[in-house]
Formats: sequence, structure tokens, C-alpha cells
Amino acid sequence: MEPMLKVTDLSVNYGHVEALRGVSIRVEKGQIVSIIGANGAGKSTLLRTISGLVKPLSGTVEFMGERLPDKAHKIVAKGIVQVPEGRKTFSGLTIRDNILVGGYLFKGKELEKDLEEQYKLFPILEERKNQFAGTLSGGEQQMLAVARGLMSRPKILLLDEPSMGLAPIIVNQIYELIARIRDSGITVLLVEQNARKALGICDFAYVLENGKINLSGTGEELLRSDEVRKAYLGG
Amino acid sequence: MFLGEATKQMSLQIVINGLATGSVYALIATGFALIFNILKFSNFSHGATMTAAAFTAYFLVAAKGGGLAATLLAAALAGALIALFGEFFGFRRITLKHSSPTYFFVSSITLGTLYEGLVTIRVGSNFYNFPSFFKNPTIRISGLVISTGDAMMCIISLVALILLAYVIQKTRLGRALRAVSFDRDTAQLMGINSTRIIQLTFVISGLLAGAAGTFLGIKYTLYPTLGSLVVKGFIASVIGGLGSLVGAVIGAVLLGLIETLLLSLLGSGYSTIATFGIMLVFLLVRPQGIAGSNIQEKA
Repeated sequence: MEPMLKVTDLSVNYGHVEALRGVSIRVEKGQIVSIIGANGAGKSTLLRTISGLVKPLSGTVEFMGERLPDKAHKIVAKGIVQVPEGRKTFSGLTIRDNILVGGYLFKGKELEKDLEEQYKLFPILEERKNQFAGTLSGGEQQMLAVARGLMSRPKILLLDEPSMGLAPIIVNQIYELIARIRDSGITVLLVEQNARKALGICDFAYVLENGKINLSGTGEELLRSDEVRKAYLGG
Repeated sequence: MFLGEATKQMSLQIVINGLATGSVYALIATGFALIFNILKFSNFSHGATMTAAAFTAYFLVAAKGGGLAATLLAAALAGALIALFGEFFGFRRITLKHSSPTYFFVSSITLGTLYEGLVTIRVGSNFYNFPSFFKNPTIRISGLVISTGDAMMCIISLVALILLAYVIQKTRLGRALRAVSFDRDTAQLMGINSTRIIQLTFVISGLLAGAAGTFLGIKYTLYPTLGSLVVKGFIASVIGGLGSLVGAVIGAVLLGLIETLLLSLLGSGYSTIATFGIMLVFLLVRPQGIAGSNIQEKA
């Protein structure tokens, strides 16, 4: 069967720097797929290219058997939604407005209903709905960023380093949330430096090094692999 | 200090005149701040847009006997069209390529010079007067003399600003506009077409420029370099806090009041110098302006 998301031989350059070199990955519907790699390996570039923010030099991205449109905002409408690295919440907008901006493609009653759903999922966000997003802690901002992403009604959610800079207990909460999102039927493509966490939760994983996929396998396989243990799990 | 009845009357008169002046400055300053917010540059073609829009309305409507409403409408529409033209030819490519702000600066000055040149070719360096739109040029309220033009200016500007605040704070497009102003790329990840939102912002800015140009033309006269009054909007933005719309309005009203006061105390020459002095003090002591800036990233 065709995978939900199929990236084939993708190469991306930033000026003269090769960020991705012939990257191919597949994401099956309903799964969590992780991409782990060090800083600068090209993880974010891969997500930004799938989202249409970066144009590839060569290669293709197919979603449910179709080539994606060119413009980032049209790709969102297809159901590919990215929660970017560093949350990127709109700090000067209220929490409510942040969530509503996420639902830009929807209007009226539908939008209100989705907003209520996010409040149910994240009670803390409803409590503080009239505060500026900039006043939230890192973990709360990550939740806001996820809530905002869910408002776009994703078929596949691309998460870029959701655990970055968060305390371990908060990281656990975020990962529980990711599992719940998967259980609700949304496919997840997860990019992480935190290899242990990302490999622990996923159905399948890729290791990205210097813009190339070096290894792939199920999460368990990679957790057991000597190479991954040495490079990413501290021996 | 004891104020005599006459002095009180005079102070009130200054306040009213100041508010009228301030309300036009507020239109200029918000039009200016909207673009500053969304593309992070000072749009120096804003002034020439005001002039060109006001002249267009003068020739197409006012000179043919049109009333104030029709003239304002024509000027606002002309302003919007000119702003859209500028966005497409002057700024679109620079925006999409994420180029340095210097290019915006050069581009906006070029556009401004172009518009001013075109207006000068059409009208020469002459002064034009809008026909008097009002039967009674002044209104008297308990000893106070208010020019009808000033009163209309105040009211229409206020309505325009309230409308603007509503659109930006409460509507879906307004939210998108604020999101794009904060972070264009991230806004696109929400399905927002940033280019359309930027166009929309230019349209709003152009509408405000057209209205402001017409008011300035009514208050003073119409001449090709009328747009240089955009510096008032600029000063107001700096006082209020560059990029803050609320700050722009506060700064504009303050500037209008201060200017009118200084005008009555010092005369026109020194009053202009003094307002620039105030702007310099702000840049030195509180460069973020009264409202400050709430752009803050948290990891």
C-alpha cells in the first residue's frame, strides 16, 4: 500500500550549503515516525521543505498519492500541519487569538467548536485565554503551539523538537500528548534530538546525519543498535 | 494659578484645535505603523501616496462639484490602489526573497519620489484649494469657535480608527494580519496566505493615506509636496512607539496638542523645531516610545 507521506530523493541547498542530500522517507497512516539527528543534521529543513517553506533543489514529496501544491498555505489546507521548532507562538497575541489563528481556514460555528475542543484538551489554556502568549512558560507554550496546530485539522502533524528546552517531567507530558494525538487518528512525523524519547514512542524511525539518512528501522531496533547508542544515547 | 475666564476659553480652544490636528496625524501614523508592523520598514512613500490620492480625488470629484463624502471616498480608493501598486512593484520581490531592510528603504523612497514627480508634472508647483464643503465654515458652541472642517475631521478620523481597531482586534482577517506581523513564515503554517494579508494591509494603509491627504488638503491647501507632512505621522509613531497602533494614536494626539500649544506660544517657526526636538528627546531617552514594544520571544 502507498504510504500517507512519501518523500523521495529530496535535496535542498541553502545557498552553497547542502542541507539535505537525497533523503527518502515514508510515513504510514496512523503511525508515529521519528527522525532523530544532531543539531544541523537537516531535520528542520526536511520539515520546512515538506511544509513548503523551503523549496527543494530536486526530489518529490507526495501526500496520499498526490504531489503537493507549491505554496505553504495551500499545503496546510491539504492536511499537513507543522508545529515549528521553538514553538513560535505569537507572543503579542492572546492565547485565545493564537488558537484562533491556528483555525484560520475555518469559520463561524466550526471554529468555535474546535476552540472549545482545544480548551477541553488543554484546560490551562482556557484559564489563561486572555493573557498574552508571551507570558506562558516553555511547556505551556509548547502546548499552545500544539493546540494551534490541531486547529488546522491535520491529517498529519509535523512536530519539530517538541521537547526542546523543557524539564523532563514536562517532556513526559508532551510525549503523552503525542501518543494521544496518534490515538485520535492523526499521523505524526516527529523530529527530535532527544533520541531516547523519540525512539521510545515511534513505530518507525530514521537517523539523519549531515543531510543524509544513515539508518532506519523500528524504534526498538534503533534503540538496540550500537551506532545509535554511541552517537545519540550516550553509550 | 488662577485662570481667568478668557484664558480658560483660550486653553479649551487650543485643546480642540489640537485634537483636530492630532486626529489627522493619527490617520497618518496608523497607516504608517501598519506597514512598519507587517514588513518592518518605514514606508517613506506613504506621504506621496497621500498627496497623489488627494489630488486624484480633487480632479475626479471635488473639482467637478462632488461633496466631502464622495471626495473622501475617491481619495481613499485612490490611496488603496496606489498602495497596492507600490506593494506589487516596489516591495513584493524584496519581501519574498527576505532581503535586507535597506532595499525596502530604497524602494519606498524611489516610489515616493516617483509619485511626487508625477503629481508635479500634472499640477506644476501650484497650490490648489478644495472647494468649501460646508455651508457654515465655523460652528460656535458657547463662545468656542470650531471650524466645521476640523470637527468633521475629528469625527471621521475617530470613526475610521474605531473601525480599524475593530477589524484588527476582532475579525479573522485582523487576527491573520497580526499573526503575519509577528512571524510571516509561521503564519503560513496556519494556512494563511501571507502575500494576500500583506496586500490587505497596504490597502488599509492606502485608504487611511487617502483620507489623511484629503483632510490635510482641506485644512491647509493641496500642493505637490503636501506629503512631506508624513513626518508628523512619523514623529507621532516614534513618540508612541514604532509599530504600535495604539501608541501611534496616542503619539499623534499628543503631538497635535503640543504643536497647537507651541504654535500659540512660540509661533510656527519655533513650534516645528520644538516638535522635532521632542522626537529627538524620545529617541534618546525612550526609543521604544510610550507604548513600548511587546515583541518578545521566549524559548
